[in-house]
Amino acid sequence: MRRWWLWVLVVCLVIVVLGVLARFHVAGAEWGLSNLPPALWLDDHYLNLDLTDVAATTAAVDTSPPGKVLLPRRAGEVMRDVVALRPGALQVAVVVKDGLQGYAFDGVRMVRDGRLDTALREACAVSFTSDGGFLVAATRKGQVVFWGFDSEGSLHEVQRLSGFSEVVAVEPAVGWDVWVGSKKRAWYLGFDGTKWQEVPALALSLSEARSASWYGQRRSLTVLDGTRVRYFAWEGSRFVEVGAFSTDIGSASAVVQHGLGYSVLQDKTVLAYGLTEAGVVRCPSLDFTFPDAAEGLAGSPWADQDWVGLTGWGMRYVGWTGTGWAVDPARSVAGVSVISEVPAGRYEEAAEYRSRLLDAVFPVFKVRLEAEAFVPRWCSVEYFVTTDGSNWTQVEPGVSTEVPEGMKLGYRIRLATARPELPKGPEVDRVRLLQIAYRYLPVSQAGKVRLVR
Amino acid sequence: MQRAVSSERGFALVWLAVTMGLISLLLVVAVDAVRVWALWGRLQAIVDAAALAGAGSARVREEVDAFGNVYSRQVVLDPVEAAQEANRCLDENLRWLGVPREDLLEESRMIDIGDNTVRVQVVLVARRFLPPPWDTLRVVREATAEAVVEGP
Repeated sequence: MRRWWLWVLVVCLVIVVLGVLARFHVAGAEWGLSNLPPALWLDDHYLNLDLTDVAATTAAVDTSPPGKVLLPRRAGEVMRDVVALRPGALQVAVVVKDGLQGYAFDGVRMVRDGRLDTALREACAVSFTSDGGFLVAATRKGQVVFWGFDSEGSLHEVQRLSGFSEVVAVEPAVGWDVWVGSKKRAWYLGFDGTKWQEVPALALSLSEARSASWYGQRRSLTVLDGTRVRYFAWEGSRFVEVGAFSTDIGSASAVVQHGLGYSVLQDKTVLAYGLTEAGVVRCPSLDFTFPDAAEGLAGSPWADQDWVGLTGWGMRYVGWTGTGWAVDPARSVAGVSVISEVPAGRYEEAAEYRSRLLDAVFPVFKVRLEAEAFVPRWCSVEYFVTTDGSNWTQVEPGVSTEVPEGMKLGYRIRLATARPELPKGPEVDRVRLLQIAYRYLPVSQAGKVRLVR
Repeated sequence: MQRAVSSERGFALVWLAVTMGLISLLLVVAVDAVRVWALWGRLQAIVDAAALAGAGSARVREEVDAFGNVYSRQVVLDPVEAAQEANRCLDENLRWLGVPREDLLEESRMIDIGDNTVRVQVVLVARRFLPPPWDTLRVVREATAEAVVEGP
């Protein structure tokens, strides 16, 4: 009884809380959610393709978070000869964006080796000479650069040649000689004791070369030329194509030679071919499949049967186990990419995204489109809305726009760039499309009436 | 002297009669003025109410989406409905005022509907207690009401 004032306080609090709740309840009723028209809307963050008309969309939809629509990137130049393993030393030279980068085996794994680092703009292929005494790299500008090694193992440039177009591979050859393979021609650069120079008599004519591989013990060069692996062997005075060892392999992206013969890369699978006296034979039991997508192969001078694969993960070293091949993680290098950076990679100049058409409950005559987009300079993003699937009305994001009356609703985005070589194109992160409907309220509820005299 | 005194006695009656007449006339004028003043006020209230009733029939058209977001508000006034409301209000209130009757007649009414306004004008003819030509008075009252939206 002495705490009567406490009970009064509790009762007052209960009354206040009930009052607040009642107030919210009334506010909800006034909001009139139940009276809203069944207006149509869609909201796409592009984390999946549920709202996408896949058949009509030419733009790229990247559904990985945060999800976006962007211009497709043209298949950039794929450089399949971006790693070189040094004979006589467990060192690897890798083509990176602005030059070459070195790795070395420390007994446990491959670690960075700065001695092989060097700047070289637009490098596209790299190789060591057969004895590992020189490093050779080619650029997209048609230059071939030779480096020697000082006493500490660091690089120093010794010669630079130019005039080599569309280089796809640099491979070692006899001694300090090197092959420079392009789409249409393989140049033989012979070392005369003081410098390298082209030996025209040894050049090979090609048609659509994509990959090449030298195997010193056989003095042979295999070239993936179109859909055919062409096998060139030393005849004593020149290289000639050996028809028995050449074969049609259909679509393939790279070739590598090893002690058994050669292998070609089809998607994730490396198909093995053996060389016999009768010619080339297919060896399906020796096929090897990478766990991820692969783009290139390269030979290994460290063991007769070994080779490396260039996959989305990086450089995977594949060693011979006696009965087959297996990846050796210790001698693998992550992050090696075969896809060249700008300027070889370019965006498509224009592309479209189309949404699925949604059915409306009542006619659509006005819409509002809201977009979150990144539009760099030289680029544009336009939005269109349809209510029938065939007639399109351009709309400005954030502006309510009248459209021809219809019972469907969909939109399309047109992305374009005037500078497809720029590293960043237009991107759309989110689109929200809303059907705008009319709701009529008494003037006493949403306005007022007054006298004007 | 006596004739003069008797003449003065008659003057008092005349003075009384004239005074009473003037007072009566003033009373009539005053009563009439009060009546007209009251009529003006009542009729103004009636046309105000009619204009407000007409404008009050308006609707507010909202542009909304599925989430209840309101993008615009606009007053929509149906001219037929607004005129009906204003007329109904006028009829009821004039009937309450006693129009029509012998001394108070409705001469004309005008209802003008705008985009969001209603203007009402009514002319009544009232009979006065004065001789011709002051025996009738035209009372003209008008009002305009508008409907407006509140908020954005």
